[in-house]
Amino acid sequence: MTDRAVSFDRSLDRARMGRARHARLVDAMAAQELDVLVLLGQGNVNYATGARMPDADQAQALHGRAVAAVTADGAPPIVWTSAPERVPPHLGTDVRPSLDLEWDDGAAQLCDALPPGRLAVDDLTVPLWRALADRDPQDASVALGAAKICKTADELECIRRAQAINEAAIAAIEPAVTSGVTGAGLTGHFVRQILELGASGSTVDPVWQVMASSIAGGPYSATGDLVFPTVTTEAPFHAGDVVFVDTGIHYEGYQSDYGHTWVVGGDVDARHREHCQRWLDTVDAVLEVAKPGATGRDLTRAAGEVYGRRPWLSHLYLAHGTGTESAEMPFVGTDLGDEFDASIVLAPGMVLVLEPVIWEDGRGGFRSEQIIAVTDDGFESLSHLRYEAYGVDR
Amino acid sequence: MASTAEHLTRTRAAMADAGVDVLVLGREGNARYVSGANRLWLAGTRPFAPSCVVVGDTGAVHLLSVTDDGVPPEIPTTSLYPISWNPLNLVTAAANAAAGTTVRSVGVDGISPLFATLLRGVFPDAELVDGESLLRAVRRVKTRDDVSAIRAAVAVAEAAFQAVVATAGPGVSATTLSGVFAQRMGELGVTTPAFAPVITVTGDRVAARVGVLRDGWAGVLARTWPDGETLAGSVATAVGALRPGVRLSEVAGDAVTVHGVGLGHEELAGTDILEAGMVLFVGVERDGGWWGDTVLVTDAGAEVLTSG
Repeated sequence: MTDRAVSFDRSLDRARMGRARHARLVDAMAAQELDVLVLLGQGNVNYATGARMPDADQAQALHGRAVAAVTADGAPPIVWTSAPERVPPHLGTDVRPSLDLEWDDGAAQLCDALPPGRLAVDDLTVPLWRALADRDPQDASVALGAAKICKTADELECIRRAQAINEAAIAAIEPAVTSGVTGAGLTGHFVRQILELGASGSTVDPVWQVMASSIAGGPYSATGDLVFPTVTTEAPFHAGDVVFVDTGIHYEGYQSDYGHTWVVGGDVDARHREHCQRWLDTVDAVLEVAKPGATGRDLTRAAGEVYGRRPWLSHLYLAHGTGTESAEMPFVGTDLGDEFDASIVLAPGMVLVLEPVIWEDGRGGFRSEQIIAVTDDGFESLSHLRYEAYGVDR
Repeated sequence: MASTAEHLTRTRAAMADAGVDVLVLGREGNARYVSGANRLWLAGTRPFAPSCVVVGDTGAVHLLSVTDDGVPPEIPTTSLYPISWNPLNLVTAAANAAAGTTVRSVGVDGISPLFATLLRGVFPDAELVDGESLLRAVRRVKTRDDVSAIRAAVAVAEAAFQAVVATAGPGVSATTLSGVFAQRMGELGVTTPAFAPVITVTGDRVAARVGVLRDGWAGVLARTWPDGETLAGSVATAVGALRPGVRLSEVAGDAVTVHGVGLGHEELAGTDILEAGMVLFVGVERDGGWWGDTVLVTDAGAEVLTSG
């Protein structure tokens, strides 16, 4: 933390959060008749134990990862890590020296140390896959999804904080978004801001995509639909560019998700305002039905059609969950289809990142994101984006 | 770009030697090696999913990507498949890539119980084998173009590191210095770190370990100042022992860390024998300080790619 860090007025009890997550995992394991859960994904290890390794590129993260094992008897979990100081004490976790699962030796040692019984894993290296072959490992995704889908108050506070930092960092860099600035330069500026504001790291290479006004005028599309996101380059922005923004940072390992649309130079015209208003109207229609008991299908129906198309990207979703992964259950509006959406029933504690995309082909469009947590009788917004540039006070 | 063709040639030769018909890859470094594609960078681990497919017989490379933006022109748009939330669609895309060829062996660089089942379903006559070891061996010795790309990454890492040195001083926190590194990296046109900067400030002593990925290739260095000379000396001694034919465990150990550098971190075992063209990070950590360099193994010994 630095003296610039964003301050928070709600409390966060990390020990209580850790105990609640562990208890939910143990319950989910019982429901799936699992005795042992082996976790390699670093978001899952954090969920189960609170242990978080430093941010790194995938290859480095695989090399340095912590590994966790949770047992259905509710005993303290085991973590194998090179950074024991990063394992919080609240669960009485059994901390052991790191095992390198990229090699047969480490995989065999893990195998020997695991308790007996029906076992599930979230991911496997090839050596661990070979080593565990006799144990017929099950897929952990159902148990993990069941445990993680509804957040505790402390988890919600982590997301709230991550989002507040992300929003403050964007507010700090937005004045720099002018003609001649490059996306890469903006990224450097942004990452410096989030660190100084108290984030634990950036999750994704920030996206500042200059949108062509038509799908055909943009990059090749394998779906025929709008292409988003593309990778940030050194190309400079120009006045009048419509920029789709997407960034994500984390706090205590919980993810923010900030999306917005900028008009470089600030010359917002009637068309931009109309697209923004259509986006807000779409979100409002979805929020109208967002309460416990509503289904994902209710949300997609509420979103309806705008300019003759479903108002989200066909290769992505209308909404996704967020937590220790930037996109996790529940997913709404994916290619899993309408029946899947109908099977998603909102419940208190679920988090939804609503990300409709308004697109009027030939005249461009608007994309932003709003994060909500489902409450006992409706929803609470975890994000606080501003639309004054579009003449909307909200 | 020139290297990608060479990468694919090497990969197909290794596949032929090992009797692997198809590679189904989930790791970004592997996918980038065979395809040259620059896809959106994400921090951290992610579960295995088929995001790149190599067919040995035809040389076809299929990629999970909704667009050809960032994809080399050698890969036709017909070889791109969009992201799907239905895992079956992803293994079907892998099977489509190999349509018309006989598939008896599928190499994977990771797996999950679900994808093991689904891959066996779409490749019913094939066994699933270790594709990660295969690519590790292929990627180990760099091409001339690979080394040029690593040199360029090292140059960015060093230039961004110079901004850290220039900013360090009384009252300047490690967090600020990490931010300065990220900001300078962005000004130099690079947005992807090899890892989050590891910086400690103890009194007037600063220890920093930093790395960037430029076009996917890593450049890494570690420095401590003031009083970094003995650490530097230890690294120089270790580097002095590098030459083809030396076993890695003869150099690494005690306080000396050695790992591969390429498209990010690359795994090496203590039993690996050094060859000319390998690129290594050689580092020492002691007494709260560290020092390390990115080093190219040459016919004569080793060339330190980092400077100063």
